[in-house]
Amino acid sequence: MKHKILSLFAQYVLLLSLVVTVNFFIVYLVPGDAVEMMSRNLNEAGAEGFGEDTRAMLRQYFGLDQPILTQFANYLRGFAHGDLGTSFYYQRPVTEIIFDYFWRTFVLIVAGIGLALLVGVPLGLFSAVRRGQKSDTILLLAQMMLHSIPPFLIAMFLLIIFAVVLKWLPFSGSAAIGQIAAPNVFEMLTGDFKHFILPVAALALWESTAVYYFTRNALVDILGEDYILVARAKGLSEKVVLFRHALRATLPTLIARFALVFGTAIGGAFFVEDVFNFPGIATLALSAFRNYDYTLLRGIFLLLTVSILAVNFVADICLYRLDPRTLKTG
Amino acid sequence: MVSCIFVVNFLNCIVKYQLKSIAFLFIVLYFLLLPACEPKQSENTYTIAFTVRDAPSVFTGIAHGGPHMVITTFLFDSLVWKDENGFVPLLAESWQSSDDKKTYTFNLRSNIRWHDGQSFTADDVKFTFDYLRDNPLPISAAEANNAIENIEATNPQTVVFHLKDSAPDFVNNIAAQTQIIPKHIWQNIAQPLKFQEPAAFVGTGLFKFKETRRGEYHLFETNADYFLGRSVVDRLIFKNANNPLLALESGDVDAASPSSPAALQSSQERDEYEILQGPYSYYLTKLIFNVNRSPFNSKDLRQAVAYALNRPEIIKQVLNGEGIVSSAGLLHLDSIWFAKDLPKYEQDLKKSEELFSKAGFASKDADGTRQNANGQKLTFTLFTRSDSQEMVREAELVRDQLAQVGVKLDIKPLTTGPQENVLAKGDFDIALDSHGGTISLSIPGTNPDFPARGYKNDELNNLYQQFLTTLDENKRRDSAVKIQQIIAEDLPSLPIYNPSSKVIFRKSKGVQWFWTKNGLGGGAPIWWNKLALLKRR
Repeated sequence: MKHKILSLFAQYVLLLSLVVTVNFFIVYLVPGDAVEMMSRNLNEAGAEGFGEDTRAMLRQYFGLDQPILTQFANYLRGFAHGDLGTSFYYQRPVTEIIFDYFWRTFVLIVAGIGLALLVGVPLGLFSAVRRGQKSDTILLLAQMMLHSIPPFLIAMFLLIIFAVVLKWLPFSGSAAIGQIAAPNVFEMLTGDFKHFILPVAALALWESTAVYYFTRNALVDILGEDYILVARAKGLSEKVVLFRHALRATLPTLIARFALVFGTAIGGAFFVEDVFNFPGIATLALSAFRNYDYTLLRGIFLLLTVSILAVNFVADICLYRLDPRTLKTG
Repeated sequence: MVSCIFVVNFLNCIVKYQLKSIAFLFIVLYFLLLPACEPKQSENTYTIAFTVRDAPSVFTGIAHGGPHMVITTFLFDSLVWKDENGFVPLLAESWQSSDDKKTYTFNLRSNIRWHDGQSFTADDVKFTFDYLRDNPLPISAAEANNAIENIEATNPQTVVFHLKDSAPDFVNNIAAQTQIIPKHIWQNIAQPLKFQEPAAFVGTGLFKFKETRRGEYHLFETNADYFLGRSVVDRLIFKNANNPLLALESGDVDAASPSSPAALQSSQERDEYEILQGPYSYYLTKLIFNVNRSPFNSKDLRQAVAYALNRPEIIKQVLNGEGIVSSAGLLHLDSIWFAKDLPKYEQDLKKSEELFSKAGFASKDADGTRQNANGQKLTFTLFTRSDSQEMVREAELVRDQLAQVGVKLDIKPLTTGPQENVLAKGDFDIALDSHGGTISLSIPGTNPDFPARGYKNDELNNLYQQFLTTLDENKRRDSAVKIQQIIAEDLPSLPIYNPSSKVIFRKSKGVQWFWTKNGLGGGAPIWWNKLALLKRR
């Protein structure tokens, strides 16, 4: 078992080093240059761009005048020391900026998935038990419709209803203004809390349909198994059959799917953050992309890959422990 | 595994017994929290929609462009400032220049204090420019360093700038643009980009820095000791708004400039808001020809294309009419150097036909595409910017209009970076691009877009040198007019439109915005002039 986990870990480390390398070079596939982009930004705003001297000075300042392989070596050296470089656009260490933004996305995704599970699993359960009945069909159709709405549209609906028309919830951002110096921590947290409700709800609503599907389908399969028939024949109550026998048996499927949901949740966060002006990692990635801030972009890619790998790794281990059969095949 | 089972059991519990009570708990919790987090904004808070990226440091502006620079002007002051009529004194009470425009003397006000209470003196001004020489990061720094020989603080209230060459635009390009920073804070700072403590935002300005959250907002508070008077608002906020009009409607912001003025029309009728029609934007879109390769190295062909286009129609379709046909000489009509009598290139299909023939493209093939005697066809890829909806639409209209005269275009939209790359390499025939800076004539030296990528013309360069160094106003005007005539006649790029710029703001807040003559600083066409927030003494 330990041996198996170690070899699994080694596989992930290999994958990670591959990702780091690809990560470094992939940004060069998009032609362009950060210094050009800075000049452009000034220019768009109506000011003048840089002259050749300023351009050369800036290229030297950021080490862009060195050959790519030297830059790669520098990158690896920095990486080993936990230094991902300095952002062109923000002029600060990439790790610091990412940390600034990532915790919000982390809360958003964890709360979103948590809420999606709280909504999706019971609904899936409900539907599976009533498979083929009218209530199942209606729920299935409703979820199908919801699933086919893109996340930004869901977010937009919520925004217009709750922030523009009803004005119950804040319109944008992740923090109440002036709360840094709030009289107490409680007030600061509650101020910010309100800003998280709509983004989390939008993400959860969108993700819950996926959770609903896989819970329903996994349960429908399992409820047809012989051992469920046996359990029922033994005279166990339907609740015991459902929760002790059926639901527990769906766990491996749920966990395997969970890793996938995590990936799509990151994708969903890109849309949701954009609609709510929510300054998370997705907003940061979009601005980094627009501004050719490729040191920052690399850092974000790295973080997203690492978190997806980590979730998959944990899911793999859970699977091994829950269902030892995967040991032999995996 | 234990935790997984826990989750299942938890769900079990919810379904079995406590679904209602847990839902109830959530509802109670929510209503308990609601009153606690009502924003405690006094009536006197003013919020402006803006994409906040970074702390309002004078030095981070290099990457963030004009709007970021203008935000710093609420905290910091320059020697001179501008209002709707032109230059006004700010830190300097008055200024004089020598006849040869090589020496400028600024007399500073005596009653100015930094936000931390220290007195502002001529030493701070000298220090600022010396510091910029070593750290040329803010927008105007390179220009200042090129111009300035040395600076003398002859007494605490007088600064004298000795320039390398005559610089008639020194006040506009440098004195009205460079934000003065306090010597007592910055003298020990070696890396200005990394210095983002609250002390980095201590200026002399109308507002004091209160707090900032990166990617969210800046919060400034009024500076009660400001030397020109008090601000009409107590707190000023700059806040992100991806959708400014919706943000305004929700009460999230009080003033915004929508990226597309056409979008304003639905809310235009409302009494609650005032819409300020600004000057046409200094930003323009234009069709660039690659003058370095066949066939667009032919002036006749470039002009033929120009006469084939119906630019007012493009403005009608793309901007809902909210724009103006740009001058073929590239300069904005509000520029003091603007030349009036340039070729207009109004649509004239007959003239276009003649010019096509003159360029050798008289015949058409079976598909109606023009070709010359060698069989070279007028079939091109038209590059445009995919991140601008307007420019993609514009490209479609250009394609359709040119198809009627036998020029076949395939549109290739690229994001800004890749398109920059294509243009910089010169690997194109024809492209749609956009840029700002058309209010001043100082761009040829710094901007590869002026008048077009890859275009070289010695006569133009000489005229530009003359323009920069001549002191006689009339001679300068002559050079400026000639520069525009050459550009309009030779037509390396065909400017298409300058869009309207509009601001919409809430009337009830009592702030009356205005447009600054010739733009803020060196010419940023931004409406947040701090003087609009000032109760003048």
